[in-house]
Amino acid sequence: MRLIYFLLRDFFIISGLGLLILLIMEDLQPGFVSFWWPMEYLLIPVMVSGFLALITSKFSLVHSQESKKMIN
Amino acid sequence: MKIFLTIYRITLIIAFLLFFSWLAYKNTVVSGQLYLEKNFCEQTDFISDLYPENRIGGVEQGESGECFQRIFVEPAYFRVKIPRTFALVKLKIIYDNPDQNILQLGLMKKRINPLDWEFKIKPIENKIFDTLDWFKLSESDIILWQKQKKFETIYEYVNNLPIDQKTATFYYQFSTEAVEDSTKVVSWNIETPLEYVDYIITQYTPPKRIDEHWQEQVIEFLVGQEYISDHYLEFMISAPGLTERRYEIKIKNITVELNRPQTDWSAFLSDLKNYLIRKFSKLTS
Repeated sequence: MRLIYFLLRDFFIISGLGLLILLIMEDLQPGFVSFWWPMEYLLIPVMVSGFLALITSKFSLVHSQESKKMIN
Repeated sequence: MKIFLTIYRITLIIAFLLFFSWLAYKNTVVSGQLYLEKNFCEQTDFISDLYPENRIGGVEQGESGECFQRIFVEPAYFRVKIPRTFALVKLKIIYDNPDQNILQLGLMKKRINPLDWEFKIKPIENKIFDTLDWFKLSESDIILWQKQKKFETIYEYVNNLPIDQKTATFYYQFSTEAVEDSTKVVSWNIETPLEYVDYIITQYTPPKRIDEHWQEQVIEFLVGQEYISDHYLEFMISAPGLTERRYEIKIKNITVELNRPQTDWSAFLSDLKNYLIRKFSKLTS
């Protein structure tokens, strides 16, 4: 579960930063993205990965706390 | 796991960089040519449907499965979205025009004031000329009709304009040196009686007939910044008298070919620098 969390978290951060850069480009040059690729195709994966990362972060935290208890 | 995550992050960053590069490549139009097509059966983000709504019909499907829009009231318009500036636009229009004598295509100049309404207009079809039975001389896109055959070439005619006979021009401009008597040259319009003129000269190519209903015409415009508004070109289809005579025109297909000089990589850095300077100065102003 921790691995899934990290995968989702990294996907969210990197794709989120990428989306931010593309939104800035779209603002400076309208159509830079939207002429060729619907923005929803970028926005939805970012939002979904962020949401899933949030959910899995709780499980990941519980799992890491239990692991620490076992070690102690 | 650390190594796996590192590889995963690098893969994501590379994927984003590749996507960004692809977008930059598409927007730059490296080859210098961009082809857009609208067949009315499918929506395209690049070429709009005809508008305004009160002048045109909805998208219909014919018996053979082709889709089209009708124009009942003229003029009608459509827009072409473009990612950057182009030097030349070539439009191919497939249409059905059973009755209307004159059909024209216009490219709108960028509106600086709300009341600006300027077009560069070119003929799509002129049924009166297409059915004229005068002597016809055709050289590239220039046609000369002679009521009585006197000249063998258009060059001969233009350099020896008859001073005792009248010439009508249709989308054609004589040089000032060629015209000795300006009263002998008139600009043709649909009200000009053909008995009144002896020669007609035009920069016009008749449309090509595809089948019983549909015809095809290709028209070129030189474009520049003065014709581009917010990344689109706006075109007008004009048919004088269409509304009063209750005729209609069907438009089936619009193909747009946009041309600009091929991207010169040696000048790319200086173009990028100028582009960034323009954008940042726009932001700060």
